[in-house]
Amino acid sequence: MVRFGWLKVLVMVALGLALALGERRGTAQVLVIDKPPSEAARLTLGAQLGHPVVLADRKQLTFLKIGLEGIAREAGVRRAPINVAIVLDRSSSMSGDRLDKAKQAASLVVEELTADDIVSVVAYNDTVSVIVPAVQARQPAEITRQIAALEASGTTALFAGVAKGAHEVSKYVEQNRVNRVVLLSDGMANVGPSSPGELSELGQALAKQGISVTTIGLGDGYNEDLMVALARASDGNHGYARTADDLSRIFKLEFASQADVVARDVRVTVRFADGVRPVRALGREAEITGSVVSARVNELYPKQERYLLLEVEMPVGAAGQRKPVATVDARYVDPVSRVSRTVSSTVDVGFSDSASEVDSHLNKDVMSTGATLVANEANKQAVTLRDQGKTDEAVALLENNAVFLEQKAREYGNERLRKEAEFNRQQKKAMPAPAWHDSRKEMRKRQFQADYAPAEL
Amino acid sequence: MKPHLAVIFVLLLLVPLGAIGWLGVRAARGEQQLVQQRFYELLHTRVAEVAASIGRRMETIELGLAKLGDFDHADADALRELTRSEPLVRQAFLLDPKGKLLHPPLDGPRSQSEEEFLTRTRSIWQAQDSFSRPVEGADPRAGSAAQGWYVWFWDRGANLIHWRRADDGRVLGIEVNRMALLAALIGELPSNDANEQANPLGRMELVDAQGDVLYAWGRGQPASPRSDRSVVVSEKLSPPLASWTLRYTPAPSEAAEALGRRGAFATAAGLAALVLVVLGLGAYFVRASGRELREARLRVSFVNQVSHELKTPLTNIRMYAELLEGELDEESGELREYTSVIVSESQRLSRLIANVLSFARRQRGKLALRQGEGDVDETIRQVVEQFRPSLTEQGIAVELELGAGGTARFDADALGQILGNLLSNVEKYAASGKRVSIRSVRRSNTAEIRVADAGPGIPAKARDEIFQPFVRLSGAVTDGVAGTGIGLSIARELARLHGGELRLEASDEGACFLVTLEVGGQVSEGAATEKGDDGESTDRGG
Repeated sequence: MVRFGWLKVLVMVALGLALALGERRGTAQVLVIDKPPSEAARLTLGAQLGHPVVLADRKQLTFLKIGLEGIAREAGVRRAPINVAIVLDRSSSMSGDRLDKAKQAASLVVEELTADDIVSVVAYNDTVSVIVPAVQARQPAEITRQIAALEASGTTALFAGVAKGAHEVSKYVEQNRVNRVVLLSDGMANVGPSSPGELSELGQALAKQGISVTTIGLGDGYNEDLMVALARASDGNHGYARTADDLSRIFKLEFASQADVVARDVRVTVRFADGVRPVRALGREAEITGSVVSARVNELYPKQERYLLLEVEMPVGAAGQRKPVATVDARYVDPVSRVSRTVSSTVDVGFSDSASEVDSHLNKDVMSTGATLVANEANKQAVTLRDQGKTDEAVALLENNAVFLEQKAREYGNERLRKEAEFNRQQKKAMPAPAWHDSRKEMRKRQFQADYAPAEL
Repeated sequence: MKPHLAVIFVLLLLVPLGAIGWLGVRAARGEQQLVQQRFYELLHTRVAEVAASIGRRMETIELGLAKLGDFDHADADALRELTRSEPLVRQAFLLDPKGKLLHPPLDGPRSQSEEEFLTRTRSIWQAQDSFSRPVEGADPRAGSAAQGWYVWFWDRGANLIHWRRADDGRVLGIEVNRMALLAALIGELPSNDANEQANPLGRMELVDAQGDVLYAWGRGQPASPRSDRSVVVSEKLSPPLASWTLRYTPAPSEAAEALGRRGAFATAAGLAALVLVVLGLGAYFVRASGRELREARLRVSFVNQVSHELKTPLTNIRMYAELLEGELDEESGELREYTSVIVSESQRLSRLIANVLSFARRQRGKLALRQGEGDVDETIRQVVEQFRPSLTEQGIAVELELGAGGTARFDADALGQILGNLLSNVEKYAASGKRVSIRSVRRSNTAEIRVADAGPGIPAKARDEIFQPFVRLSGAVTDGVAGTGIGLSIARELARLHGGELRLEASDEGACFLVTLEVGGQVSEGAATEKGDDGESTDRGG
């Protein structure tokens, strides 16, 4: 993979050689269309094929990886102001240790906030209480005092809690803020809409408002499908914590790492050339409409890579020929200037008779990512099978998965794939056990990470 | 107070109190129903207010949706962009004026979610007339509305499409993201915040078509399925959310407070006031009558004491007058006549005083006899002798026919008083008859004495009245005659104490009084009891 750094982009564009360079290398290039790059570009857009050169005269599949990486505005900049609603589950199942830990963690977050940040605290059981309405985090002590006073009782109206939290956040949604609902729950939702599908719908709507929901499962009882669905649909993070330490670590990662919001509401549109067919999107959800694929990223932070991986059917071509594959646009909003900008890139592919030439051009990074996501799909399928009670089939699937990953690890010389294979084997062992649900949470979390590669949780 | 008067008095108190109580209970029940009705009306108002606020929010949302999409640029890209960027929009379709689907394209490329959308809305866009007929929530005045809601059931519960028709007849339909809509409504609804004053005491719940709670607030507990349904107030939301219901379960304390406080207070206050008035009147009456009784008693006691005081000098006057009468011989002429007047008048005065004292005793319930051995006829003779001078003076002849001689046990003073009263009446009222006959008969252990005159007699209708105290027959008979009106009453009382009776017998002329007395078993001759002083004996008997 060729990753363009900040300086390199400058140099490239300044020399006006970007297009030529890209063509020569047969990979991707960056074009900043509407503004001078030195002032405008807040992200780099990379579009790479797993096989930049394919065999001539036949149809074949490969991966197209579209990577987005935020560019830091300047070194040492303070983190972006946060607009966060902490939504605490205080149903009766949270009583005792769990609620105490959640309260500690929430207080920890509040103490980290500064007067630039906006915080609200919502607690719910069968009803919802807005403990602290959205307010500038000037008096953390007062807020933590209110958090400390919470007591556990009642049932779990998770939907209503998130809705109220989102309502508090929406009062101060700003482009350059990290607009976030953080949900801490141990339980299954049992009042109001409670299915993963319904929570997904909510997550999609919140993402359109620029609000992400980070869900943190506490203890062993929570419904991870629901929490994952909500996080996934809203482009938030998901993690689960067994101990208070886990919780603090998650919180710190969630907020401290976000130095700056460099781009918001990033819409990626991939337009494939004639003869090229998108087969499926792996990982991040994408909408495939004929030969157009679109996807969306809520926020982008510096040095954080978000990607979209597509499985693509290549056109048929003669040896030595080059054919365009796709043009990629990333339209985003600059949170500071609030101007909508677009970066674009094109991808083309070369054809060769020689398999060794094809192999020599192989982009191992893209192929590894593809293998990871393909294996991830199989991993999800295994969980579904296990849920249906087809434990044997699930175990067999995981074994195949492990073999596949090991093979690809050798092929691409990728250590991470080998680790994934190992993990699949572990999961395989854990699957038949009655206490499988712990392992299930771990699997779901990893599946989520693999798909979205967000901040490591 | 006399017992029957006391009973009447108690009844006078109890009857109004009972009536007040009964009316009070009725009024309280009526008021309770009224208060209950008002309470439910209040709850209904409260629920309706919340429902109305949701309705207003829906109107705002509808306004927002109506602004989305531009018919001039309603191409696939624009509609897809709508779906991608608008939180409330899940999907959108466009129909041509004939109701044929333009977007999502039936013949062009479609995304997965568009595919699903077409599947779940197939019945709507295939019907082609879904939006030409009036739909739920549309203004009925317009035959074919320009915009409105379309509700259909799919998956879990109601799904909403907001549609609007362009001038050229094309229809843009926007499928609303149900969860986004619910979240938007929840965002505006109250929550259970510590400082939320408007929070109801009970529990307000937003419920979907399946009866599942979507959102709840309020300090009360959720309605348990077993709880009495009648205490739940519910209100359907207006279209397009007509499949949702708002229901309110009042807290038990809330209902009790509303019912108890106002109803009981008003009724109790009214009742207490009435009871106080009645009791006050009763107490006033008791006090007033008590005072009158005391005053009457004081008067009687005054008369009594005066009579006592009079008795001693009168006894002396009588004694000395009789002595004087004894000293005077036949020749004394006028002097003797004067003396006899003094004697007879002092005797009359003695009888009067005796009557007054007896009456006073009877009033105190202390009238009693002092019985001793004696001769009834002897006593009659003595009394007649006392009256003889005055009777003679008035020309009244006395006929004695005595047959009750012999020893008897009786109160000679009492008998004397009875006869004295009867003879005194003859003197006063029957002098015109010019005669009086006194006949006595002894029958085993009773003695009967008849005193008959030839005067004007007593009218039949007054035969009982004359024995009542203070009753004096008005009219010619009594005109100009002095009297206290207690004589016959005392006489009858004394006769009854003697186990006998005093009554008026039917007679051809005048009045005939019959006195019967229990005078002991045997008829035997014996010494007459020495007759004591009139006043003293009765005094001692008391």
